[in-house]
Amino acid sequence: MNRVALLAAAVAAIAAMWMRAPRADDDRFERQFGAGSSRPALSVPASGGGAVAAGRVGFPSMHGLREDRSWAGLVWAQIGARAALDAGAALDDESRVRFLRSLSRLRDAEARRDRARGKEDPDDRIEAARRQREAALAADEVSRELFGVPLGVFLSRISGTVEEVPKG
Amino acid sequence: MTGLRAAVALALVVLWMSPASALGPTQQVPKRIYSIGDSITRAFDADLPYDNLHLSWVNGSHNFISALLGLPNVQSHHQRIVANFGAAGVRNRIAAQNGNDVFHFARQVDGMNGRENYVTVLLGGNDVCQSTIEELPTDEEFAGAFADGMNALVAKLQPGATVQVVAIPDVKRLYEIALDKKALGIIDCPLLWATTSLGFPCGSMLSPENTEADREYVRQRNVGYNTIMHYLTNVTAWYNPHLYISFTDVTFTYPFTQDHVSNIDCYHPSADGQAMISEGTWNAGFLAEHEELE
Repeated sequence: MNRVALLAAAVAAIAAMWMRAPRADDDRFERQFGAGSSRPALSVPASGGGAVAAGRVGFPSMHGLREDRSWAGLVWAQIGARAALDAGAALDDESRVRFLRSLSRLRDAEARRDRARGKEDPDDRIEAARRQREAALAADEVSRELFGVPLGVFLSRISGTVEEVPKG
Repeated sequence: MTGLRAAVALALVVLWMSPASALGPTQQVPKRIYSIGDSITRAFDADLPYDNLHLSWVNGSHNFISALLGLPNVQSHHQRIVANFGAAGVRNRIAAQNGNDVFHFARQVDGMNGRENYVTVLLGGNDVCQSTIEELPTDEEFAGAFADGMNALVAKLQPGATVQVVAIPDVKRLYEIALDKKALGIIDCPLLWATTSLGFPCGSMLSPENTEADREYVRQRNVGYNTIMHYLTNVTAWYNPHLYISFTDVTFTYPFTQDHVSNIDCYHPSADGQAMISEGTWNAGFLAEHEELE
């Protein structure tokens, strides 16, 4: 098999995993909690360092993430964390879990904020915006501690295409 | 049947090429982006604390990874250029620096390599936002620095390049919106402003010691700086007909709302605000006829 075919197979496998994961996740959810159950709050298992390091994240947390369509963010954040680890920022399992947990909290808060938009009850909007801000600050603090850069900068580096012109 | 297929193929080719054909007669296809500006262009505090370059109204991006991470999508000029002209050959560079004012304009131009053909300029927010009202530059000082920057900029550009100069947002309106946020109890904006722990002192507008008359005075200077930039941009365009230079004040006139202001610092544009700036400025520039993103 030549390299192009190998690459195509890898891309197809990733795409298949991406396409199938929410469905599998849904089925597992239905079996575990019953049809029509409300989804559990987003959380990364407090003691899941080994599982996270091995590429597995607890299912309950994935349900919550899937709800705002960013559950795979955990996986990618883990890849980012892994890349940072490889680059020399020595993250232990506990640190990775802390980072993933802070990202999860942020995404959960943002999803709540988005859902609150358009609601007439200002209390919902106030609470959602407040939580979003608190979660953003907490996630940023963990990112600075682990990667030495603000979370926004970290995410820009792993997802953006912009080149910075050196200061004149 | 062969003729029909050929006609369909030709129609598809024409459709595919039509955005590029809407460029001006000598306008270069905008592929090499360069943004000059301050913290607004760096999307400071737009979603997460500090810089969010992926949410910049000029340089922002939203790709596969962004979607997986659930990041906001501001549909930046960079994204619109890629959508209209393709990703091949695109360079997406940012020279904007937090805290820079119009006196940094020429210095940011120094980072250009002469091959840029799409340049945006959004400076002046930090000229309006000084620690005290007394520190605001005079009109003469502001005009001199802006003219120096524009002259340096056009000297670096090849014929057919596109330049868009954007007005300073209405700083007083942003202040009033943030007060509304406070009124709703979302976040304690005056406390944030007072501590300035996030590094954006703007006492000339945000200081609790300012009177309404003080703030109105600062707003008039805000308007005055924009008038200067508008005039000098038009003069520069008149003397450089080989370039596509435009000015827009949409950032000043747009009725920003609470959702357009950062939940982090009550002052900078949020991701929604960045999206609005991108859409408004794009539709006010030379590429306005090009496809709008969904």
